Amino acid sequence: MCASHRAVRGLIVELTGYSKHTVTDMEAGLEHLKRGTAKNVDMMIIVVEPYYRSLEAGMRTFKLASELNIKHLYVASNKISNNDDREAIQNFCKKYSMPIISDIPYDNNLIEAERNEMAPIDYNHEAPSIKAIHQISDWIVAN
Amino acid sequence: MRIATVGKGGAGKTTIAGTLARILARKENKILAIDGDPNPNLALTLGIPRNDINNINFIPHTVMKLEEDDFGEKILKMTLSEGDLFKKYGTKGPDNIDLIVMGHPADGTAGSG
Repeated sequence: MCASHRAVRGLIVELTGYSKHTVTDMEAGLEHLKRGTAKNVDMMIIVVEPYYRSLEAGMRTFKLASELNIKHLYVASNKISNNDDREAIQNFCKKYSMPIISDIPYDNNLIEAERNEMAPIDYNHEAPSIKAIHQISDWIVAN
Repeated sequence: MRIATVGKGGAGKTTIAGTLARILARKENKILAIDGDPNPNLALTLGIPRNDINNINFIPHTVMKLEEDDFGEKILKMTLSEGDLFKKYGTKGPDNIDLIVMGHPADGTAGSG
């Protein structure tokens, strides 16, 4: 295992007691799963977009993560523009038994936040995308 | 709970990770955010000002060392104390979030902190 992957994995474990929750933004791609970097997390949120290649990648991630025995494995569907998007993701996830924790709508507030170099939650805390992410935090707080 | 966001580049995992950390911090107080991606965008979505972002020290991989315990089992150990780790590499964000950013060998700055 490469040293930087090992370091992320080690730190997640060593710092478990530091805070009530840790939120780790993993490197894009599957390398960290193949190397076991992510095996010490309790919950993995696999972010997918409503197009086939993204869903396929999400499915491969889900399979690898399942082999690591991660306790809570969820899909967050992102950039949903309409009902067709929502249904496409729902049908795909159902086929592979992947539970969806939240449907996050396509939201111009996120683009505007970035343009203004602001955190999305500071730009507009009532934005539809922020409300959808609240669903994820509600689940975490309840579990 | 130890939570991780994963996905293809551009899928929105960093936006979700940063926003989720902020919401949790308001509800549950102490949250640690870890940027495991060589792209330090998590700091921005957390709402850390640009000036503070430029001063972030990336954590070198040498912060964890592979050692053998008394029974010959390989274990990962931190090479500095938790307090020193946050003093040297930690950044405070809004809602009292602590952020640490992992350096990667591909970065020019990795290991320089």
